[in-house]
Amino acid sequence: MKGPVAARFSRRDDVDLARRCVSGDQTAHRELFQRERRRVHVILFRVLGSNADMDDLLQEVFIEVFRSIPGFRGEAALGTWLDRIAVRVAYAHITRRRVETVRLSIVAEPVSHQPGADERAMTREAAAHLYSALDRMPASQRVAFTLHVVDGRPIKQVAESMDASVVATKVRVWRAWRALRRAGGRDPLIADLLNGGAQPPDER
Amino acid sequence: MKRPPPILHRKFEVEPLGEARWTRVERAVLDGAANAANAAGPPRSLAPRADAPPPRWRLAAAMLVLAGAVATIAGGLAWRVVVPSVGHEGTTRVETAANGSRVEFGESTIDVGPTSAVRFAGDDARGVVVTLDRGRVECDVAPRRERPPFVVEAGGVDVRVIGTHFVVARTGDAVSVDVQRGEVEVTSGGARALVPAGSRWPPSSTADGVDAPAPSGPPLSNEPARETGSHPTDSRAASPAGHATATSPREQYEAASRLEAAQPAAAIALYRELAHQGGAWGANALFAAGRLEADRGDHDDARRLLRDYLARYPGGPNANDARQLLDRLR
Repeated sequence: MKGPVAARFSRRDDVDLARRCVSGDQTAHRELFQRERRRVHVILFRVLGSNADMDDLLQEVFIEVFRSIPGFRGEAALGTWLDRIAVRVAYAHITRRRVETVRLSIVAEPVSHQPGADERAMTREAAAHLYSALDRMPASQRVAFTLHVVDGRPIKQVAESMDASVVATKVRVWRAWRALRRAGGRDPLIADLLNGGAQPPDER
Repeated sequence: MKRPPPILHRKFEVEPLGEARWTRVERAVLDGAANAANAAGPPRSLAPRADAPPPRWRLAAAMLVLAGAVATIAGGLAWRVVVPSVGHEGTTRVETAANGSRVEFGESTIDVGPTSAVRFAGDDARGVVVTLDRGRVECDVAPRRERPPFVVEAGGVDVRVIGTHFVVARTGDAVSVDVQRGEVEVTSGGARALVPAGSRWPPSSTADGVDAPAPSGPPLSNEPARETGSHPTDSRAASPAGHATATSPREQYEAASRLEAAQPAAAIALYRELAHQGGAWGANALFAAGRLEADRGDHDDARRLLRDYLARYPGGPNANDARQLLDRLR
């Protein structure tokens, strides 16, 4: 008897699922959506910093997935293939919305007296400032920085998702990092985030 | 400067999407999946690109957006009278120059027009108040569902929102409201008016906000102008048998609307009973029963009720909505 759905799937599982999707099997469409929706949501949220426009973007990603899935041959894991599509959709969204954007914190003041409420409110405020600074960067730097630094993915994985070299991805991360350090000179919340408030770097 | 970047993912949590939003996304994706599969051409490069999606995808996206808009309208968005109550502590003020700005506030997007002044207060958990001091705001508000309201205040005019796309413009004391999707209820000087999609309040105003007499739209006092979903006007709790004490058609209708979320079957029974009585509230109830059956997934009953509505009230206030909903159910 099978246990709960495993978090990881074999390459054969991926190819079988893709084949069923190509054949128009709606159960397979639903299975793929259910299996991968959180993975896609995390990428979009990390890159964009909020759930605004999220419904449309999730639809965009999955419709593109189903449109392109006849080309999936299983050379990479289905998840990696999905990551690339999600990154591409996020990238296009950033470059499309080049209007002046002001992102306000949705927590104007602490709403709870529970322990840690102030800190959580401050963290969300800092996140709003961080993404506001990221709005002013080239999209490629933003995507590389958010996936590596904010989401904690290894550089190699980020490079694969962006279809770029490891060296190019490192350069993008460091350029974004340098720009944020400059922004931190004017914004104490960003400075605190980058200097003292963050966790130490993970093993890369 | 050689210090490596910190890792922030333990600090910033991914805000979850509500299950209702996931359900909507899933429905839209699965509806579009067959079309997308049929339209599949040779596989494209998956390298990140800066350009827009190809025309074929745009068409699919437009269809999805249209389907979503129809679903939203058919879902019976409800609008309520405004009694501003959220405090203004922690208010953020935005003043724009010649170009305007886009503000993302929680799950809502507000385009602030040129030379406008706007204040934002509250949050998604407690309710949002947008105060328009001058100029123009174009709001795209995600459905509020069970959450506290999203309110726009402009001088003496209040608009309470549950989810829609609309524009509020203010020049001095003159205010106009232009509804592009959904429906809003506008309150001014104690008078109220429903403003449906594609309409403007006051009717004689321009998009820039002139002429702001008291609302002249359909009054809510005794007769319904249009079925708008759940809009209770008092706090009495309804029960499945509540209609026994609800004497007027309006009270029956409101009792049914209060039951929609918790006891949809009881709400439909009340709506059907009211529909048999005819009259303006009966017409509204008939449409509401069809809409609710569609929401519950009973498409056969929904189609029967909506066709019955169109046969009895072909020019009724919800006739267009009924036709759109029927199209969606085919």
